[in-house]
Amino acid sequence: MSKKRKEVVKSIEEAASLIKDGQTVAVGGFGADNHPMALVREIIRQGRKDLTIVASATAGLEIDLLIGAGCVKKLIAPYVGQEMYCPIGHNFRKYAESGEIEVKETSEYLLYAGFFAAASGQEFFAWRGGVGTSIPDLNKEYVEFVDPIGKTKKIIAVPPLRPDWAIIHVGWSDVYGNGQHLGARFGDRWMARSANRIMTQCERIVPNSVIRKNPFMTTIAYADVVVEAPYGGHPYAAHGFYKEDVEFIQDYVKCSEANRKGDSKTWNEYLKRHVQEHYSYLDTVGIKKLVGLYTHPIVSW
Amino acid sequence: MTTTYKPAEMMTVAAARALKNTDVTFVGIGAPSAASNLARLTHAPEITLIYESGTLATKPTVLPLSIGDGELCDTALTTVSVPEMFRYWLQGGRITVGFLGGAQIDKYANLNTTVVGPYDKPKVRLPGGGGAPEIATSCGEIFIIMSQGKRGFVEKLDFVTSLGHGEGGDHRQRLGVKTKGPTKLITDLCIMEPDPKTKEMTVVSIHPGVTREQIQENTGWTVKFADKVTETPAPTELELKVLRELNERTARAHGEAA
Repeated sequence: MSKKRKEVVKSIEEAASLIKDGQTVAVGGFGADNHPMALVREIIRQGRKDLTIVASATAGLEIDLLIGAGCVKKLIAPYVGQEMYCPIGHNFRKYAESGEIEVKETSEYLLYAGFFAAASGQEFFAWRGGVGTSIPDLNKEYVEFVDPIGKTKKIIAVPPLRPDWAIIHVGWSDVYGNGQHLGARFGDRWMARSANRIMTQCERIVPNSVIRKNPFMTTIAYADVVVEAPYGGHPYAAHGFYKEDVEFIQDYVKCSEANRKGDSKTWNEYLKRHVQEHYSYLDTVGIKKLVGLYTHPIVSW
Repeated sequence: MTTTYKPAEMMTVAAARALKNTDVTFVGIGAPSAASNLARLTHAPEITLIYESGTLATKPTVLPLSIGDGELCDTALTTVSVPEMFRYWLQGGRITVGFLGGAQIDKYANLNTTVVGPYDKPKVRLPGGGGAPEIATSCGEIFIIMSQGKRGFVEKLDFVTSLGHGEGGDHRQRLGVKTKGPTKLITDLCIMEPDPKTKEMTVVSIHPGVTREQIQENTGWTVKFADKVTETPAPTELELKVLRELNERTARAHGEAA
């Protein structure tokens, strides 16, 4: 496959409009870090419906937000919560308990094993974790078999998991879709590789020479679409740029909890306040707040 | 000992003491993180702490609120990718102790973090397994930390998210799982260990001031006590001082979320 250098930069609005109702979208990041929030908010703003969402291995409230905004039909996720902020996503709990979303049970590595199978064009990847649990009983796609070599251990065969899109936050990218994480990468590279198309969101577009200067840092080569979204990970951290906004995450937890308990007014107001065009959103957060989250860069130009 | 302490502090201290200087520990957020760092700051300065976000030999100054926190990366020896962590460190057999907790546990220390009630019509939806299913089978041994109560300590799980001793006896071996599984269940009331033969979790040590009746009242099955039950030594002043300072530093760094 020849890869001709092509500029792939789009506006956040144009990029999000490429994702269609009913598609399968994997959302990168981990815990309270590196979630592509500018794209997530724009997907919600454009009213996308019936998405199958593939969460990162430790999804945070970015998935909970998509669920609470009514965009999700099916969810493939090992975990939806925000750990010490809230042990479970309130909208996830509400929608899963009422049956309004379908949930596919998995574990962190069973999820990755599906990405590896898709990325490498292989029928399945094998993994031992999950043996002896209810997960393979419930999820018939995961097939338990006996190790054909040693003939004693049980193993699970995990079929390919191939999203239509992976949306990934990177630190910076050139206009051709070559991006670098400037801190922890978590599982983003494997999620990206498994998807049919990759959309990255970066803090800054940089010249190709910056990427070429340190090729070992290039984590996502040949993304199909790139958008520039400064502070696009807010309220989460973007490792190497800024830390998470604890207060903002706590406010989310409060408003989503209200929704779970039947107070949809508080929740709808929350959505109205936060699901905005990216720069209006940043205005809402406020420059003082944003600058206060700045962290010392790990990698210099 | 005149210092007063909370049952949760006793639980964290008991868990910290169970860790050795030579351990390579797979740490989760919350009580496991507090216990592991308390061990590192007291009797086990060379313990290797690994968090599932891929951070190796990390030495956080404050406790993380989330598994991906920059604090863990910035104070680590290195940060590998999450899949690499699971494949080569976890399933590769390089972790001696993994910590787990859950919403529900049964007497064989199987854990549920998925749903309470029938799966299709859950009474309570829980956050999901995360990495627990593979942590449970791949770490050398598992320590479980959980506050004890009837809602959580149940006769039968609605969903087995991670494998403990299965149906007891040699169930793990029959599945070809070679690791020890849960060797300690540390609660705010006592410490339990599996019976060598049946693998039923059995009380071996009771925290100061706690009675056998209290333990039974907070457990959904008939509790077995070992022939010789000891009293857990109360937290020392040093243990409490280090733990409280750690928690205070964390609160200062993160605000009220901590």
